[in-house]
Amino acid sequence: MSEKIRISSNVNAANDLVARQNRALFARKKLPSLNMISSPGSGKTSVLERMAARMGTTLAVITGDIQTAFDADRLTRAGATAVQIETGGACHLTAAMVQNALTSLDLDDKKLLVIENVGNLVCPAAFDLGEDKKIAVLSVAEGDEKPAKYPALFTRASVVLVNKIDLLPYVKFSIDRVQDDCRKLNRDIILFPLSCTTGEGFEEWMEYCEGLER
Amino acid sequence: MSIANGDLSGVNAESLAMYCDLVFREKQNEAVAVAVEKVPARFKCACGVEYASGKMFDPCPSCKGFDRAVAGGDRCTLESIEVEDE
Repeated sequence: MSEKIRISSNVNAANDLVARQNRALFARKKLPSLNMISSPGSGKTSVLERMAARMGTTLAVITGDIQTAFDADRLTRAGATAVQIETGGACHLTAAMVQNALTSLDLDDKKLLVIENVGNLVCPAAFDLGEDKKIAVLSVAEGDEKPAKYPALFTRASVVLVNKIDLLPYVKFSIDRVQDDCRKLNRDIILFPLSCTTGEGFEEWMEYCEGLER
Repeated sequence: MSIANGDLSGVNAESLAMYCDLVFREKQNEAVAVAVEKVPARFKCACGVEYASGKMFDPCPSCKGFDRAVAGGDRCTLESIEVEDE
């Protein structure tokens, strides 16, 4: 004899539970939160450095990498309040890793929390960390076909930062194609073309961040 | 174990089944059979039509547009387990 037991539970339920706890904490602190996701080398940390120059310690960053605290060090030097997660091999952050990092981060008097995920265009999109919005970063040097090839992130992201636009004269990259593909995947997505080198486009991006609901 | 895996879930069902088997062998010293049902992505178009599609860049079959929202196939769920009586 055998018995069939109905479960109907999401396989990510354990992660989602912790993500809800993180989300509740951010809400209590009235802190907008972003989960920044991209390939390695697209310029996530450089974007955050420019944001830190404007926001100082009111910008809280949890930054994830396989190894090293290079990014947290860079962001602390740039003026932000930053903590590093070293995953030791995991290719994405989980809600529990973020919850653990939050114990060493004072969220009072912060205006924005950015979770800088491990550089990876695939797995991080599948894990809710408790953030308000996912932000994709795509640099023009990576090629304009990335939203079509890696649709999961661009389907779930609220914003795409099209970074390194100062390199547009040197690479084959169509912002129109990226916008067109992204809108097919996600009609509400917003694109901000910008350059960390020249600062072009940053005013618009900072205005968006300042307008986030608290 | 019966698992329903959506096309947009981000979960590789074969890997999940392999690890379930490994865990059961280690913890229970028994094998586990994992049945995976593939759930296609579903979209709800602004024109009112709801449709299933295996490809993200398939437009609405009715209006040919992309003004749509994901309406299903974005989760991976453990639907049920079947256990033998001892």
